Amino acid sequence: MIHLFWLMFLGVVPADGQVGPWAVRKIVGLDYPPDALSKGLEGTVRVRCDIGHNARIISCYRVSGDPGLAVAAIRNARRWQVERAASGEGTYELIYHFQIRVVERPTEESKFRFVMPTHIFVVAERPPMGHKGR
Amino acid sequence: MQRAIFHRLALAVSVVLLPSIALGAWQPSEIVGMKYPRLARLARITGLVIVRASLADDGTVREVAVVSGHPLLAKAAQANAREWRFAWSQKVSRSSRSPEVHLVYYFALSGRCVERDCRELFWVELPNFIVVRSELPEISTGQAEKGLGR
Repeated sequence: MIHLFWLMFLGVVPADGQVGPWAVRKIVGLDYPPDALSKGLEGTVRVRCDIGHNARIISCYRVSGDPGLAVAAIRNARRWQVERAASGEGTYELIYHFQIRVVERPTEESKFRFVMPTHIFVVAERPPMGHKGR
Repeated sequence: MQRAIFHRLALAVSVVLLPSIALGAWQPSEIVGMKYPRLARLARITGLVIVRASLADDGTVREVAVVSGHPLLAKAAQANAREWRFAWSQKVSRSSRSPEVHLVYYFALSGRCVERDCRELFWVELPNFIVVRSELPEISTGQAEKGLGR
């Protein structure tokens, strides 16, 4: 709330985080879903969220992409927060890119990257097929 | 109780530092997640880290200086901040551009877990407040003995 106050006071409501009439305010990280990683599932998932008049997320649903990955994406999208940058209710869309990199020595942690205003990259690593581990 | 104190403290810090980023009108354009530094988690180190990032004209981070915070946490925050990208708000004149932004990281531990299976949460409250929270690993007898050098 205080963030919003400062931004409004200073007249610097960011254009860069703006999605339609909404500006992203809270971004929540996401790990690669373990099930999807073990099955080798990757791809792009588009998620759309409906926003009520009080800037609360009413619901999020899959527009396209793998249903298994979409479950994780929707769960994540529901935790984000947006604020009104212009008047009106509406929707905002997030595009999740789940990518698996095959490397000799994979790290155990997946990498999360958000590129304003809508793209989220979740990258995990796994060893090549038939690799017996370290 | 602890959470309430944290929120007050964090908000106070944000209020003090926010103008420095908002006035400059640099806004994050690319945000990269991070994990709780493993050593800091084992040592149960928590707290705030403030870093100052010097930006190039294109919004890439040239250099990150630690303003305050525990060295183990600060090192991780510094590495994370280097991966961010910023964009200049089109609503503000370029002549007033400042080459620096501050980022405030809060590292918190809560709940219990077995090491290597600790759940973590990373979130950012724009424009510059980052929270990295992890469950707290139980210390096994073996680890404790290792720590004591036995």
